[in-house]
Amino acid sequence: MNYRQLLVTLCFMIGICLLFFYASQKWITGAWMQLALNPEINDVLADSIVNQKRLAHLEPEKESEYREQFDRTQALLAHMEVLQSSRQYLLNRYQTVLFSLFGLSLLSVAGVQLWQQRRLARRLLGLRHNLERLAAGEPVDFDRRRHDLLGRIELMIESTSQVMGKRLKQLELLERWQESSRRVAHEIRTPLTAIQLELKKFAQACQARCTDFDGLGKRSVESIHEELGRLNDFTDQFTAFAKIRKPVVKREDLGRFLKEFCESYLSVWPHMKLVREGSSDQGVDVGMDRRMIRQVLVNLCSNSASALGTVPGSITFRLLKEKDRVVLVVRDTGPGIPDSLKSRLFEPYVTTKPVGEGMGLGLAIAKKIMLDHQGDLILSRTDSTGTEFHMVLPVSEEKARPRPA
Amino acid sequence: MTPAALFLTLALVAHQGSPPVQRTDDNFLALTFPSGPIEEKDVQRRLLSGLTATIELETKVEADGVPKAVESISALEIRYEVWEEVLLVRCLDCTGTFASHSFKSFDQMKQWLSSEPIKVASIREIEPDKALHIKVKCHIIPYSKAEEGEARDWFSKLLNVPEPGSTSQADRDRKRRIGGQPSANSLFSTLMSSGIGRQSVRSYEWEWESQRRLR
Repeated sequence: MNYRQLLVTLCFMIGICLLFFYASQKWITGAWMQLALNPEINDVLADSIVNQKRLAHLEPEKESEYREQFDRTQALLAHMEVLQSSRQYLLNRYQTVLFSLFGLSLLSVAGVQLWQQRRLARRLLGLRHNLERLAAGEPVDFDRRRHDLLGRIELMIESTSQVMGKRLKQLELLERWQESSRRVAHEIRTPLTAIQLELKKFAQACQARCTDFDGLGKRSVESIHEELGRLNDFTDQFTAFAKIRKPVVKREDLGRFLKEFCESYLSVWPHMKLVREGSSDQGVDVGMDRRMIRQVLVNLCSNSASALGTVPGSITFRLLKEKDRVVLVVRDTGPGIPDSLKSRLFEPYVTTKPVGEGMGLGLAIAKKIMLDHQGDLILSRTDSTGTEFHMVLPVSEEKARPRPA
Repeated sequence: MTPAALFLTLALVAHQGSPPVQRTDDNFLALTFPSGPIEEKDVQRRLLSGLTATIELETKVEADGVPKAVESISALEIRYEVWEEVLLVRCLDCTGTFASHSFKSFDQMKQWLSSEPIKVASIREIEPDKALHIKVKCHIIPYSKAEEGEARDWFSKLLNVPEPGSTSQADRDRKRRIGGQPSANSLFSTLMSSGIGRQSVRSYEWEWESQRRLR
């Protein structure tokens, strides 16, 4: 029911109540007024004062007493006479007061009812939003729960959400394991298939007593070595993830490090410019492991280059020095990261690349490295114009080293 | 008979006898109060109720060729003293002069009213040979302003319903003195007691046309 309908219904009900009250109050007030202003009282009082006067004549010694009673009774009679004369006005006033009070009470009740309805509607809306969130697999959020029917429904939704959340997590985990298994299988199967083919070719050459048996055998061995090397690299990646070593932190000038990095990797990604902004050249001393930080930067740049594909773009570095930490802002001009990946971007086996082109371990390793540096790697912003990461490093507490000329 | 105004029009024509209004030598219009109203039972009851009843006379005199009508008010305050059994009458004429009289009985007062004209308007500005159109409105008001105030006070005190524990009017008076805060009850009593108003219970209207000079 919307508010207009409710308002109309309430007005109608109030109107009916007031009409009924107006019709019935005349009997009620009339009876009370008759009781209060009964003309017989005046007659009795009038008789009484006459009698008191007579009594005073009969008992002259008590005249003052009777006179006093007479005066009191006469005053009362006078008041009653005045009320009798104003009977109609008093009746009207009394009815108006009662009518107004009743009307006000009804209005208050209607106001409370409207307020309750509004609050209920708001809570129902919240319930609907939360049901939608539940349907979308998102966590539900209730402000304050009350111990009424809606409160119990909210509790049920929350419980359902928790159960569903657990199941979803399990499913997600399972899905991720399936994906990573698929990737692992693919990574292993490709070199194995190649080795198998080479061996088959070599066996056929043996059977056919091929003239160029030596040359063919040499090429096959080389090819098998190459594929075995790929398998080795692949297992190295796992080893690297499983055994990320602790950083050997030294005091380094991050500005200078960044400059060297840009110069060294200038030609690695030909379609992508490496740009340093602001005071990146100035000495910013941090405690870091050069190799590991370089690995993080290479990972970020490599991801950006992959995202750009063949489209020319740039990656910009900017150093922000804060009170007790340094933030290296790394911003690219790529197409951005999909919303569905944002929340679990730094988890292992999460990647946007197709199967066979990466295991999705790079950002997980990078995050671990930054955390081991007592810093962090944060996804600051991502949209269709690019992605921005913040590499946070703590400022080195050691005394600054003199910079080379 | 309802307490609404009762209009009694007496159109007296000159040839039907001497009119109840006369022009005095000092150029006032004097009215001999018609006996009709005070012979009514309800009016008699009110005049003998012990309250101070007022008979208010609103006079309006118009004359040919005189642009502005003469308007004035005069009144009779009648109070019956039940203990002494006397009727006290205070007469206020249009000049603002009070005259007090007392009568042993109602008939005596009626006789006095029919014999003593009351000056109701000054017609000094109107030439004696002008024809006059005289209109007198008479209102019977059953009690005086002071009695109205006393009744209001009494009524509002009566409406202040005592709380459980307080027993007497004295208690209520003391609480009123100490507290002094207006309550919903006092608001109600004010609303109700203001319903007591001084209104006329009977009204009459008389008109006379004089075709010739009044003597």
